[in-house]
Amino acid sequence: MFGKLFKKKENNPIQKLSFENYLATVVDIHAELPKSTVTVKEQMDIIFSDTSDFTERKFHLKSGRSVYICYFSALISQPQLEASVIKPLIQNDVNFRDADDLGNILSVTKYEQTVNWKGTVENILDGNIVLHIDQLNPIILFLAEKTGRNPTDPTTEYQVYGAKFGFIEDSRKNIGIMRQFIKDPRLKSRAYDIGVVSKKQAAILYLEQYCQPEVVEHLDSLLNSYNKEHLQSIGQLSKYISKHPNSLFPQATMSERPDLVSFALVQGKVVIFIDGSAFCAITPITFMDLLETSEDHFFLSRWNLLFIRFLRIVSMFIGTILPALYVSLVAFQPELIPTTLTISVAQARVQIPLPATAEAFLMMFALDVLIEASLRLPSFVGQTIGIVGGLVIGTAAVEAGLVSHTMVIVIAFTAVATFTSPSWEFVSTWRIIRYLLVAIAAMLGLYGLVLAVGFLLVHLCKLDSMNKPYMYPLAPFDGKELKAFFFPKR
Amino acid sequence: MNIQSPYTRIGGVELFTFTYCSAVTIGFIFLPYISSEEIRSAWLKVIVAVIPYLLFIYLYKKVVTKHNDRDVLHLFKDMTSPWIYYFVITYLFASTIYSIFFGTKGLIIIVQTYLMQDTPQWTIGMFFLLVIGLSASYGIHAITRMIVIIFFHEIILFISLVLFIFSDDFKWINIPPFLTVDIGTFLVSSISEVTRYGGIIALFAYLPFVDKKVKVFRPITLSVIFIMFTYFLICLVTLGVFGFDQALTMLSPVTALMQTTTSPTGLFERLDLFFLTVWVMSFFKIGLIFVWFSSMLLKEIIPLKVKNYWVQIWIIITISTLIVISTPSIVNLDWRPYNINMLSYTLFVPVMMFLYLLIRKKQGVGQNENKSQ
Repeated sequence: MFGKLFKKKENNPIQKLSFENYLATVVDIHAELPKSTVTVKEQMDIIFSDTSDFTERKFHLKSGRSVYICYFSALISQPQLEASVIKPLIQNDVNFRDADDLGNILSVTKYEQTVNWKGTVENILDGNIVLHIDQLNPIILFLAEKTGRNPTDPTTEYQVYGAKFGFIEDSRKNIGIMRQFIKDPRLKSRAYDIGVVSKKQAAILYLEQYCQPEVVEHLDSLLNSYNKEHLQSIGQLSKYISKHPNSLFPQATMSERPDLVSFALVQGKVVIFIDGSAFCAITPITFMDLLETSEDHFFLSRWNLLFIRFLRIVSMFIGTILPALYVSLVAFQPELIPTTLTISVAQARVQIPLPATAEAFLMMFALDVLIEASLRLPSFVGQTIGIVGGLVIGTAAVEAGLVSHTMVIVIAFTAVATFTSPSWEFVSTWRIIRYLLVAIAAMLGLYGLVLAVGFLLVHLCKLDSMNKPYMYPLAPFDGKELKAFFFPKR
Repeated sequence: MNIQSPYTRIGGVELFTFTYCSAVTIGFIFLPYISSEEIRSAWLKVIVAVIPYLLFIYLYKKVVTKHNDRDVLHLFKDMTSPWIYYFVITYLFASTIYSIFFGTKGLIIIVQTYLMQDTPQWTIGMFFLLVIGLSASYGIHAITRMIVIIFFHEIILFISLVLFIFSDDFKWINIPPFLTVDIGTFLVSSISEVTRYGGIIALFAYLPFVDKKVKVFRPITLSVIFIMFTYFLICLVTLGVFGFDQALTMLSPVTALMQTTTSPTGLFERLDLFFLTVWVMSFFKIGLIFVWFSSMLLKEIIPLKVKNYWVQIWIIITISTLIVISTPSIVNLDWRPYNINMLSYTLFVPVMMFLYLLIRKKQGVGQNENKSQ
């Protein structure tokens, strides 16, 4: 039933949304460009009408032949255009017989002849330059220079030992960064333009012979069939490639750390980069992958790694189940906990007007509001919000008699435990599940909680990421892999 | 595009855990003195009781070897007349529904006794069957994987039972068997113990899903022996701690065992209640297995498209829910009809099927000879 519910629809690209249709109203998109500069300019003026940043330059060679150059001024290197293209053309009086002769004059790294209108316009939009000498085939000069920044420290994935080096918003440069980490000819990449309108550059990166070829082909077909107008973020793409997009659990993970990505590539995973995002998506992933970081391998003692991973698993359980367990124990089975603790809890709750369930919901909601608020604000204000909010929740709410001390302790410990997980996406998932478990515990106590956990486990066992079971190596059971997770080989 | 996954196979580990979990739950919780047929030597009876099921496995293996097909139900369908086949399948289906009903009632008794005294049985039963229905809809691979993950539960319980033998509460003097009755009476009273292994009937539908390279009968036999050891340990420890007279009056001796260990200064004052959550999970597992098994049987009776697998599940859930909520709460479980039916549909009928299939010639053999004549 759920397989059908979660099945991805295979849509055909909606042609009317693509820019090809718009272009086809002006020119034959598959036709070659005419050899007359005047005609080409006229057509370009129509295509890029009302486009203030579209720049054209026209001049004559000493021989009298006209030269036409067009580009988007903000996307190219103007000094390089001047030095490598315009100056050599003006200074050298060469009688060009065909476009190949230009290679002897121009000092650009790469150029190629235009094929058709569609490709030419795509190249201009991509930041390249069209150079057309009258009666010759127009050529594309690859002199794009997009605005970018230098790699900086990762801002969201903090690590003690890991590399202080994060991705930037340029997919090609990010692939270049990865080539510094993995110097192997088997590191392959495939490029895509995703989004019918946005044509955002994307790329998949994988290690041949490490990665399952079917996964690459499957991703390839999915990315080629992306038919929405706009691709906004890597998260949007991750949802698109997920087999179970309605599940709460992420089936791809995101990272801004090249060291983590290189670790993932060696594990046989595929990495997706898109322009405009400093994060990449990694797939396929398992439950266990979401609990590990590349930094774990920095520990000099293997026992540290074992301890850290065990700690994360236990923390995940605590962070998810503790509020629901507290509610079921207080509301349904107080006899389960020691008498002295029961008395303490009862004394703490004696002045509280709310039932334990409402108390738990209130506190969890307040905590999530605080987290969300501190995320959206600049760091200095965010910290203040955290302190003020913490004080309000921790002290004022207790003194006002709205919540009990024990509930504050439970929720605080829950919050701290949850954040031991390295994946923020995963933390968010457990946050939602926490609410659901509290709701069930409020209705049916420990009995309901156990059955809900059982259902959750079956759901997790049903999930897969690119056909890799989510709970691997626990189920299907693979003792060697499981041992390697907790106690990797030297 | 369909990615060929090397992880979708069901292997030996999965088969071992499935066999164990399909049989162990109810026997575990209510062992040893819940049946009216009991005599004092329960620990000896559970050992004797495994023998018919070892015979079951032996015959099953012989059938599979002879016909080179693990799908016994389809073999039976091909080699017998339709009315016999549909009669047997319908009987198996009805009995499985009866087991689901009895299991749910057992769960309701446990939950109402220990966890939720004031909650009506329909709330407990309906929620249980609803969650089972939702979970079973995910299919056998998800169910199998879940069972493997939860298997640590059984290991914890097994270790706990072993540790009891070394506790001060355990007294060896309570253990020696009372064989004052004749062997005939002993064997007759062992019938109730035999049914504790009956859950392995679900293997009929499960084995065709197991990877063909896996030697299936080794994990199944090991699992049944492990079940026998678990039952043996429960009987031994219960008798050793409580003695015969006291244990006879308990609803769930294992739960009572857990109560004896709890320290009032520990984290959990009532460890038995904590273990009750383990029982609930065990009921959940066996419920999943039997709902899935009955859906497979229903498919044999009313062939439905594979895509509509969830329809079969929800038919089973609806039937079970209606039976559970329309019948009164059971105060004293009468195990006799349940045990007799269990013995019939999990042992007698399958053994008859195996013998019939062993007598019949292998499919295809002799057909060419007839044609040439």
